[in-house]
Amino acid sequence: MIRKTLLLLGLLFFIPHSAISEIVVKNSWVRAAPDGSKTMAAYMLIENQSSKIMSSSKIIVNGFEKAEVHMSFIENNIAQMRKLENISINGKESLTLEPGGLHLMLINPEKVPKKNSKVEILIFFENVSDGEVVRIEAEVRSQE
Amino acid sequence: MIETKNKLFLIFAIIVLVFMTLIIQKGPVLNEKQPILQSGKALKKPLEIIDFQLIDQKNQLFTKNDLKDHFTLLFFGYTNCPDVCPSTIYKLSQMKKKINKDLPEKNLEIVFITLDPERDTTNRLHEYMNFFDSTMIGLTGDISEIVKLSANLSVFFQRINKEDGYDFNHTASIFIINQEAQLGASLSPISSLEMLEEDIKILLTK
Repeated sequence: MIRKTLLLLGLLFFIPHSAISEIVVKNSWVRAAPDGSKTMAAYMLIENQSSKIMSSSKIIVNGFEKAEVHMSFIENNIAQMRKLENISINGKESLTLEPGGLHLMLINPEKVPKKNSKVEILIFFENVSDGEVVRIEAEVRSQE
Repeated sequence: MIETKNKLFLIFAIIVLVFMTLIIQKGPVLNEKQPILQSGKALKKPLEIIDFQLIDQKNQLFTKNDLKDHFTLLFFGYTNCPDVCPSTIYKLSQMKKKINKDLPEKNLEIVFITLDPERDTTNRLHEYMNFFDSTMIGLTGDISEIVKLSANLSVFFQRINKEDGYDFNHTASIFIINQEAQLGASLSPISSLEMLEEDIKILLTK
């Protein structure tokens, strides 16, 4: 029993930071911001390794009032931002969230997280067979 | 007689050809004064900046005179902008380090002007500038002064109200101000760091 528990714990330890095999999240990070900031942005690469469309309209970020999917774009040198209702990724495709484009906007932090700390992000996918939440620990850092 | 006519025609044709060649060649000669940039446009004639009065993050008055005798990269934004503004600040901060190392005599300065003086107080700008690059100058002040200066530089901005606050759509161009406090060029913020660096060096050394 103890051996089994240890084995399970060991397995949990080695599970990648996004735990659902059909969705793999890589290179996640939150842009460090000064104290007093009301909004922050999170970026990542989300790979849909299944052959089905995966979509999510619910994202929870620990320590923030809410999170929304936003798209920044610059048209005729005018920076604009549009809120998206969900993220949707075709089968065997990936979605890049990066500076100046698609990003998670993290709104109203309880306390602005410091550089090098981790922010827990939960993305609820509506079409995953063996679970429904992708858990990410995104590091807070400056742009590089 | 006919031969003389032919000779005259030949001479005339040669003169026309020489002129045409000169005219064609003159184009690029004139263009030399107008640097060709990868990331934006240089103005044919620099634009005089109007007088203005704003306050920097150290609570000091900042006017047009403070733009003189050095080059400045100037842009507009707001500190609650989570994505585009910090990306531009990051690029400009990197650029400032590189250019001031290669061309120290130009004393390149970076100025950020808020479009949101309601939330961006001097204290907030102090915190913001210190976080990204304390050598950058952050300006706030009376909204009428900000509107006046943004109109002078053809900067568009529009407040977008949301259920829990507001954002801005705004011109995100990087403006290059010369030593006489005149607008010399505007560059696109989506250009790569390398392209921007190359263009800024061209403008600073022309």
